[in-house]
Amino acid sequence: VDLGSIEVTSRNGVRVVALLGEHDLADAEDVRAALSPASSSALVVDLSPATFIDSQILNVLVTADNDAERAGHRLAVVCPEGSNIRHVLEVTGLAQVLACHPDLASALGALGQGD
Amino acid sequence: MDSLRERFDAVPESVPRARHAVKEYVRALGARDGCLHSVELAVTEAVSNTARHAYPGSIGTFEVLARRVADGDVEIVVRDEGRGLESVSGNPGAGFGIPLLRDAADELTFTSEAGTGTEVRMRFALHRTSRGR
Repeated sequence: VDLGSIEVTSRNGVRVVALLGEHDLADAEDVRAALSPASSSALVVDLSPATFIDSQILNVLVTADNDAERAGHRLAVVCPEGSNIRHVLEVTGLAQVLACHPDLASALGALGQGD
Repeated sequence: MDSLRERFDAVPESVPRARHAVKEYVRALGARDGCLHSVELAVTEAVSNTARHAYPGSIGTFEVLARRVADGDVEIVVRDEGRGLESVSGNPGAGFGIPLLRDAADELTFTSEAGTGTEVRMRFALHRTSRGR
């Protein structure tokens, strides 16, 4: 089975966690670990390279968003309109709860860290 | 292939395996993209539920069946012999999983009794182009 992968990079001091491929219960704890470090005050979760996420990954996103808010940090999500991933966020109402952006540049811009 | 019938261990690693097995079967039936993603999502949520809740403290198995039925539909069944659905409520994750399942499947039936396992029976139109209902 060809599973997904997680890439963590830094852009202008913002931690960018990109989910590539497919993510579900099998690697939800890895995704949680990648999103949990409290060291960065701004975090982008880039879902644009993801091809599949399930409710377990949604739980991880909501927890990370709540944790960021409690810590006074900011979290932005990249999720292109019309994608399968966007559909999952819309069905569950999370497209309105999470700060969703169509691409990485606009997410970084919203965090005040654009190029 | 007339039908798909495969048994998996009820562990997290089986979630992508079961999803891929069903996806390949449904793709071979000529499913459109909207149907494919709906099937992937629904099977994942059903199987994930089984892997997380059906056999607390022990390792059990579950079975996935898929077959083409009349009217260009595919029927998919996820079945375990675990403790049943009643004990699932209140667990984190149930909040998003069931709405996703209901949205993805054109028809959905849960059959469950405490101690006798759970069966999730789903039906999808192969030629559906939209995601969700």
